[in-house]
Amino acid sequence: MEKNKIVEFIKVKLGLLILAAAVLYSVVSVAYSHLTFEAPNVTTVKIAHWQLEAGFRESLTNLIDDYEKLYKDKTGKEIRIIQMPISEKGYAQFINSSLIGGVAPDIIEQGIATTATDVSYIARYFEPLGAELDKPNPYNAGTDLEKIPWRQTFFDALLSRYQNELQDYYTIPFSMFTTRIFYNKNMLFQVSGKNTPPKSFTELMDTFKQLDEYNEKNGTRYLGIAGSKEQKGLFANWYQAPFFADTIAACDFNMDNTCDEYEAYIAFKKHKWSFQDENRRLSFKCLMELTEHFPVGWQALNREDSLFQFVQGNGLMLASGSWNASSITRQVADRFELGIFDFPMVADHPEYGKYAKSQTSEAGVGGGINWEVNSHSANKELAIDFLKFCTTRKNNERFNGDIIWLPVIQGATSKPILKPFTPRLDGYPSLTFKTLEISPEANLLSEGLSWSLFAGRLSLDEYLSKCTELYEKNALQGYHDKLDILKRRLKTTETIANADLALLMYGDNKEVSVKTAERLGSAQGQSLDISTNEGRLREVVNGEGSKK
Amino acid sequence: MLSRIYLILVILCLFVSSAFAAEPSTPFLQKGWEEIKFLAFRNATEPFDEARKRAKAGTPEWVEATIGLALAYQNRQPDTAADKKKAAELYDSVIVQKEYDKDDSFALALILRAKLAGLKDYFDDEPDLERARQLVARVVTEVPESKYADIAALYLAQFDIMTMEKEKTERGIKKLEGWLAKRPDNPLASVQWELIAEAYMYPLGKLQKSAQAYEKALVGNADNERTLSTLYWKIARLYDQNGNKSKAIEYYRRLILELPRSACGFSAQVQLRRLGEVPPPLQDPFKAMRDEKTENATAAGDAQTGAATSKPETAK
Repeated sequence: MEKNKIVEFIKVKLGLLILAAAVLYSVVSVAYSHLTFEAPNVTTVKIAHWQLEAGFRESLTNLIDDYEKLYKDKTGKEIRIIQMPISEKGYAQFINSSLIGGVAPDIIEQGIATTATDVSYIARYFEPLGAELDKPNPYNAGTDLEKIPWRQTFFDALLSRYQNELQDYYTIPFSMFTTRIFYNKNMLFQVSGKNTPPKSFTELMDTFKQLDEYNEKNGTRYLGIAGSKEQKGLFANWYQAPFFADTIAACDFNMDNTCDEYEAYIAFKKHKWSFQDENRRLSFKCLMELTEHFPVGWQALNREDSLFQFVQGNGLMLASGSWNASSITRQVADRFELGIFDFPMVADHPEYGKYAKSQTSEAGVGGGINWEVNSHSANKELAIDFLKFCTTRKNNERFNGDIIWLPVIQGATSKPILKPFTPRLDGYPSLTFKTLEISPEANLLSEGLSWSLFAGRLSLDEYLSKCTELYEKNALQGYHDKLDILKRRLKTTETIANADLALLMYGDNKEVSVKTAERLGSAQGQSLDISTNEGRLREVVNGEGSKK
Repeated sequence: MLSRIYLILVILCLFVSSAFAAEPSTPFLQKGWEEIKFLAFRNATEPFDEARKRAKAGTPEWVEATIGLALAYQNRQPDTAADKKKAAELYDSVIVQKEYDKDDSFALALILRAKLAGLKDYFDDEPDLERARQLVARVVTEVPESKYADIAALYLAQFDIMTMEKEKTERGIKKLEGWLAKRPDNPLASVQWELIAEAYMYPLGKLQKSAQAYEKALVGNADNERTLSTLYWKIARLYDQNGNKSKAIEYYRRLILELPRSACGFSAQVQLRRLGEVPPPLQDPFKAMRDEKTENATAAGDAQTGAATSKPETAK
């Protein structure tokens, strides 16, 4: 009877019970969070990032623990540094709203959010670190970096980490990244009898041929490349882009060793290139030779699928970045011996070598995991001090050693597994030849067509002819639209320059400094880019363009 | 009795209001510039407006507040025709006020007014380059000793060159070259030489002159490896295309030897080979990383890292 009553009570009140439990849980959670995050008498520095991969938070926690202890020993006061890991999907919303609302974390990882990347917001919300970077890092005392400005202790003197338009605004990187091919050493030896990976494209294709023969002979279904949509993109960087080096040189009107969408369009109108060119055809042929060794239906597979295939020992190779070295090593464990090598060159190929002479240089590679300091933070000196602590040689080596990434401080050593990721010096500064990208509509349609090409539903001739149609129809409008975007960007730069000009009179620095000159130069460069692109367009539209 | 209370109240009110009125404009000006530093132009409007109301017309405080308020209207978002009109009126009031006492504030107002005229600020705004040119020209001719004069000289040439018409571009270059002859070491010299170099390259197509102007721009960029990389490459290419082989070789070599972090090193090697030269090997800024010992490696560093600093055969 009692039991029935209880059952009856639960039946009737179940919803209410669940609601009450949920409310109780929420109250406890919020109270716990407050107790954890809010400590009224302890200075707290919050650091927001989206690095949720295994190992990152632990590596950062190790540095935080050491810093908190050191700070207490030095000052007798307690401080807390709290990580705020946020998923990529919610990162932009969180950073944008908290910066605008004035409750943002003290240190913020740059990226994803507009307020953390757009120059006008950077100037508004973040601390210019130029002056701090010109002073030595006090945590380098007693080392050979002791008297060197903090900026110079980074492997690239932070050349790549300052905002061109703002000049004085730097981010502080913790790591750097490059991309290579991971391979299954046991499988390579099994199918080819070799212990060393292929050094040329011909050798690479020979290896795949040996793998096919092995599969046929043994009834196995090993994959040459654990392919997917993402893998296609990675291989295209190395086996499609290099075919355009000469075209880029021919279209480089402003002689900056690159070719942007505007130059490509002007060159198209001047008949300096077309979609039917031999180098373009060969670039597709080369890439398609590789995708033949991807799994069937790779167009529908994603990054996780290819990684899974590879670590399970079903694929001979996988292209990926140094950021994944730790994760792949851990997942492969004892299944097989893992090797890493650079993408074999196409240069010595009898047919492809005519156009593809080298790849992209990595000499100018910049730092990754970039931190900015919130200029409205009550603890910005402490936040900067913490970043200084993290970027001593010893601590940067330790952080990256824990997570198996490449360090960014001069003389810091990395794990031996990362040696093949050392940046490559040979190569062109950029092999990006953007054509259809000038128009979002044409770009989207051509992307769709490319899947039909790779699936064999469209021949290369048909595909290229459709690309020509798309380009001729949309590129001019795209040119104008992109110019409008440049003009809007110039407006932002001019706004910053206007403030600079007024502050020369009414701010603290009353002299025209090198930084002021550089900022004005940046605005001038953008302004001239727009005028030049407009001028060149007028020339070709008026039929003044030279013929090939 | 009641009338006495009223009287006291009135006196009190007068006292309080006069106390407020007596409050100087300085704190509002400070607050306004603090907001400008963070590019918070909308937030700056109110303090500058308040400071302007409190300052006596024509005083330095009034000029400062007027320029600050104009700047806020000129740059605050969203861009509207009404805001730009207000900004223009405010700048014009300073220009008129300082007509007989020309100083830096006069020059500043002219330059900012010129930028307001010369740039497209809102949807159907029509830039007036000629008006902008006339305004900055006044700074160059009427206040040449101002710290804004070098900036005005730059803008004066820029407004001409931006037309991309050959005649006007030549006029802009001539004026700026004249300015640089008088003030060769001014803080904006390298930026001014870069503008001249760009204009010689396009629309004028005078490659030799463009290369020479870029060479002069090198002086102010000695510490900036990234800018130097671009400049060395451009100078080498311009001399190369103009047939000045020895100068082209000089800059291709300097790029390789002086700028190890330049991504153009390999391209310079390719060009030197084309010109029949044996290029120097690329400097390796990652040598320490490449030379690290690999014993105890858990996964082999197969080390075909493409270092290739001494593998010129790859650069066919």
